[in-house]
Amino acid sequence: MAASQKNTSYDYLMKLLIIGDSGVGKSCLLLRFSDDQFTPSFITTIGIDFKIRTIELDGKRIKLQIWDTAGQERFRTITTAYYRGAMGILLVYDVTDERSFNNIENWYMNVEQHASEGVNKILIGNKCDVDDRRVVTEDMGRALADKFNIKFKETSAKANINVEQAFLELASDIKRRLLDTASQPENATSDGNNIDINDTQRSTSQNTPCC
Amino acid sequence: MMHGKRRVAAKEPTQDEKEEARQQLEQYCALNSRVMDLKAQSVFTADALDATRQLLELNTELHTVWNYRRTIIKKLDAWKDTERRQKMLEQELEFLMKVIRNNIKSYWMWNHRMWALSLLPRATWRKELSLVDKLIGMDARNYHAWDYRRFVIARLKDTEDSDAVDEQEFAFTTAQINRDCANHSAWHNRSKLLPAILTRVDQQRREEVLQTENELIQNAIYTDPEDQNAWLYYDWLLDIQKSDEDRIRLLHNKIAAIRELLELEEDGKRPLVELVSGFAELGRLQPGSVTDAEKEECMEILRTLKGVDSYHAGRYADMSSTLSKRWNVSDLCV
Amino acid sequence: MAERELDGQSFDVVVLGTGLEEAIIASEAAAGGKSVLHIDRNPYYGGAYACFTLSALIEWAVCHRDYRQVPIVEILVNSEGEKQQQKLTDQPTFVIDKNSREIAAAFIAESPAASRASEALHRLAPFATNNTCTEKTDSATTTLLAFLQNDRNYQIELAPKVALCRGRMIDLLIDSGIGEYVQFRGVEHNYLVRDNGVERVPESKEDIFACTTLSLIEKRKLMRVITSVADNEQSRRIVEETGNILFDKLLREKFKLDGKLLDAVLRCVARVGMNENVNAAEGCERIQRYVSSMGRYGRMAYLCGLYGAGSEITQSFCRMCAVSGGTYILSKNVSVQPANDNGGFTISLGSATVQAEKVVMDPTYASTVTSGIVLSRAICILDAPVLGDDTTALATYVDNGGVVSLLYVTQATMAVPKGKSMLYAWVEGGLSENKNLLCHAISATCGTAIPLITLFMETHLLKASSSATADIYFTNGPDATVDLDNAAVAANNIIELLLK
Repeated sequence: MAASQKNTSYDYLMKLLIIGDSGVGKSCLLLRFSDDQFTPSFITTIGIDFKIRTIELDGKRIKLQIWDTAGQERFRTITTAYYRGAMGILLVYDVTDERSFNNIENWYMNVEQHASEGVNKILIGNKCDVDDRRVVTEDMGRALADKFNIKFKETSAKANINVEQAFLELASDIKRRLLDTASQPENATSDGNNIDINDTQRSTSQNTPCC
Repeated sequence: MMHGKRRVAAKEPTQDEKEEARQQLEQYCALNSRVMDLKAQSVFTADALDATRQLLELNTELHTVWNYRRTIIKKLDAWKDTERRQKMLEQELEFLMKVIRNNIKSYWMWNHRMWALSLLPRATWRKELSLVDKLIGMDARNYHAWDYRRFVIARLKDTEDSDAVDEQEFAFTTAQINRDCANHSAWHNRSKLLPAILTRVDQQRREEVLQTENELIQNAIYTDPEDQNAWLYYDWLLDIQKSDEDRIRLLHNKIAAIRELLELEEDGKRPLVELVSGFAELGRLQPGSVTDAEKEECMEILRTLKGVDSYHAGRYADMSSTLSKRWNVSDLCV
Repeated sequence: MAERELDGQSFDVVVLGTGLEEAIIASEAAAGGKSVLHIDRNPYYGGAYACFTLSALIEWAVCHRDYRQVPIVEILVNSEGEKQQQKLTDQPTFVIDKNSREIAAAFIAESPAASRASEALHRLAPFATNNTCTEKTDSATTTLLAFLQNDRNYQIELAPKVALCRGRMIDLLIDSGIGEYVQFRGVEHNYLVRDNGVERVPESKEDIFACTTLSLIEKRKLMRVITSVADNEQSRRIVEETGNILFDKLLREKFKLDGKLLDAVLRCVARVGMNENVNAAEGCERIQRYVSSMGRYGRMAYLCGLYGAGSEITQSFCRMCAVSGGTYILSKNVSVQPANDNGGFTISLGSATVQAEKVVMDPTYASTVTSGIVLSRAICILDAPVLGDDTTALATYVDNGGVVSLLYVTQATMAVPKGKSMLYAWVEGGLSENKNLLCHAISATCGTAIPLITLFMETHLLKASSSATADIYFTNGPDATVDLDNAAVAANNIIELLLK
C-alpha cells in the first residue's frame, strides 16, 4: 500500500476493482459511490476507466481508486493486468438475472487465479430495489458468499441503497488486513522504489543543482 | 540551477491559474501590511507570532519579519521558563523545517535556525546533523547546507569527542567526492579537516594519509581534468607540506601524473597549464632543477594555449613574460 | 456463441493479434474516434509478447504455440532440485516438438485447466532426452511438478524487454495516459559478462570516479567517450572528421578503446550485436540516447515494468482501447476476405460476420508468410538471486565469439518470488548453432547459483509474403533489441496511415 509521497492530501491509496457480468450495474455502482450520480441509460461501459474518492477511516484519509472493467467483461476478455495490485474486489451480480449470479463462480475463479493472494472480496447483489423481477433471493446470495467465506451486501445504485456501506466495508477490511497488522510487513509493501513515469521530479535529486 | 542543462520555457499560465495568482497576491499584501502594523505598534503576542508565521511561509526573504519574530519570542511569557522555552524553540525548528522545503537557499531562514538552536536549553546536534545529511543527500552542492553543516559540526565537537567527529566528517567528504568529484564544498571541507588529522598521526600514518590524498586527486584529475577542484586541492596540499623537500617530491609526482595524462590527450588545457605552473614552482623551490628543454617546452605550451584559448590569453601572456624573465629564455607570447 | 451479437456490424478498423504494436494501434485508433474490433486467436493477450506462469507456459508450448513462429521448445530441469548444480548440458530435457506435442495435446484437451501442465509433463516425460536413467527423468518430472504447484509467482515473458527512459515508448505511454496503468522499476545496473566473471559497466562520471577496477588511464578513456560522444555537437564533428567509419573502428582508433572497455561501450551501452554493422553516427546516437536517459527517473537508463514490460504495456493499451470503446474478442479464429464492392473487408469469426474498412494484422494472420529474423532465447529460473535480490539488471555476455543480451529479474518486478531470480538470454540465429553460446552466457552470469529450470526456444519473426494490399497493414514482432522503441516507432507509422 502506497503512502503518498508527492501529495499530502491522503495517507493511503487503495486500488479496488469491480467485476461481474455485463449489465449488472458495475458502472452505476461506481458512479453512485464516486459522484453520487445515477444514469439509467448505461448499456455498455464506455469511457469509464477508474474513479477516485477519498474517504476517512479511523482518522486516516484513504484514497480509493476504483477500476471499472471498461467493457472487457463482455466477451470475457479482461486482461490479467487488470487484477495487478488490486487490494479489494467487488464481485457483482444482478438479483433479476440468474445467469449473472451463476457466473459469479467463474469470476471468483478468475480472481483467485490472477489477483494477489489474500485480496479482500465482497459479493454484491445489485438492483435490490426491483422487487417484481427478482429471481435471486437474498438467502441465495448470502449462501454463496458464505461458501467463498466473503462478505455480502444487496445494493441498489438506482435507489442508493447500501452502496456507500459496501465500499466502506471493503475498504475497512483492507485497512485491517494491510495496515493494522504490522506483524506482516510484506503485505503492506512499500511502493517507494516504483517509478511513476509521469513524475519526473524524482530526477531533480540526481542532477546536481548548485547555488 | 543545474549545470549544463537547458532551462525549459515556462508554460503560459491558464486563466484559472492567473486568477489564483491574483488572489494569492492580494492575501499576501494584506498579511504583509498587518504584520507591519503590529510591528509598528510593538505588539508582542502569540497572535502576532502567528501572523509572522503565515507571512514567512509565503516569503522567507523578509529579514525584518524574522527579526520581529525573534523579538516576539523572547518577550513571550514562555521564554522565562526553561521547559516552556525548550518546547517553544522545538516548535520553531519544526516550523523552519516546513519553510526549508519552500526555499532551501534563504539566508534569513538559516540564520534564524542557528539562533533557535543556540538558545535551545537542551540542544540536539546529532539530530540536526542527520537533517543536514538529508539536505545534502537531496542537493549535494548546496552551499547553505554545507555552511550550516560546519556550524553544526563545530557545536557537536563541544559535546562529543572532537577528534572522532573530525574523522567522521573526513569520511563524509570522501563519500561526497565519490558521489560527485566536482563538489567544491566537499573538497573545501576536506581541506579544512585534513591539517588537524595530520597533526594527530605519526610519520608513517602521515605518509599513508598523504598517499591516499594523492590517489584521490589523481583519480579526480583523470576523471575530469578540466574541473578545477582537484587541481586547487593539489595546490593546497603543496602548501601544507612540512618541508620544501616534501614539496619538491610532491611536485615531481604531479608533473609525472600530468605527463601520463597528456600522453592520452595532448590538448588538455588545464593539465597543460598545471604542467607549466608545476615547473615554475619546482624552479622556484630548487633553482637549476628545471632543464632548458623543459623551460622551452613551457614557453611553447603557453604560446599554443594563447592561440587556442583566447579567453585566457592575458593570463598565458603574463605567465609567459614572468617565466621568460626568471628563466632567461625568450618569451614566445609577444 | 456470444460474439453472434456482433454479426452484421461494421467497424472502421479490425485489428488481428494482440501483440504490442497491434495494441498500440488499436488504442490510438479508438482514441482517434475510430470504431475498433480487436481479435486474437489465442485465449491470452500479447501474442509474441505474452507473459505466462510456468504452467501456462507449458500449456502454451503444447497447445497454443504457432509452429511457424516457435518451432523448437525445450525444457531443461536440474534433476537434483535445489541440492546440487548440474551442468545445463547434462540436465534431463523435455523436448516439445511436433511429435511429442501432439501426443501430449491430445491427452490434455479434456483435462481441467489447473492440471493441464502437469498432465502434459507426464506425457512428455517418455520423450525426454539426456535420460541416461529413468530415475533422472523421474526426479526431473518431480521437480517440475513441485514447481507447478506454486507457480503463480513466476511471470515469464516470451519477449522480455525494457523501456529506455528517454525513448519513444515511454513518451508514448505518457502521451496516451498509460502511465497510470503500468508501474515501473529502474533497471539498476548494466553488466559485462565474460567466462571469467561479471563486471559492472560504469555509466556515469560518478561511477567512473568511484570504480576501483579501472586504471587511471582507462578512466580517462571512458570519460572521453562519455563527454565527447555523448555530446551532440562534438560527436557530429567527430563523425565529420572521421568520415563516418564503423563505430567499432571509431572507438578503437579515435578513443583507443580495447578489451573490456571496448566491449562495455560497444556491446553494453551502444548494444551493438555480433554481426551488426553500426556506423559512427548511429553509434554516437545510441550512446547519446543512453546517456540522456540517465537522470530522467533517477540514475538508470532503462525501466522494467512490474510483472514484465512488453506484456503489461500491451494489455494496458488494450484496456485503453476498451475504455475508448474498442471491442475485444479472444480465442477466435478469423478469416479476412476483401468485400465485393468498392473496398473494405468481410471478416468471419465463427458464428458472426463483420465488415471492416481497414484491417491491421500481425503477419501470423496473413494467408502466406515467410520467415524473417530468427532468435534463440533462453529463460532460466535460478534458486537464488545472483546479481542482487531486489533489483533488475541488463547484462551482455561477450565471449566465445558471440554477443548475448541478458535481462536479470527478481522480486523487484514481481517476476519471481522472494529468494529466487530469473535470467533471460537471447541472441540472433537458430538454436542449434546458439544453444551452446546461451548455455555459456547463463553459466557465466549465474556463477554458483543453480539453474533450476531452463527453457530454450527458437522464435521466427514472420513476414507477410504477399505485398500489402491497400487498407491492410502488417505489423512486426519483437526483434532482438533490448528496448521497446522499435515497436513504438513501427506502430506509430501505421497509425499515421490509418488516421490519415
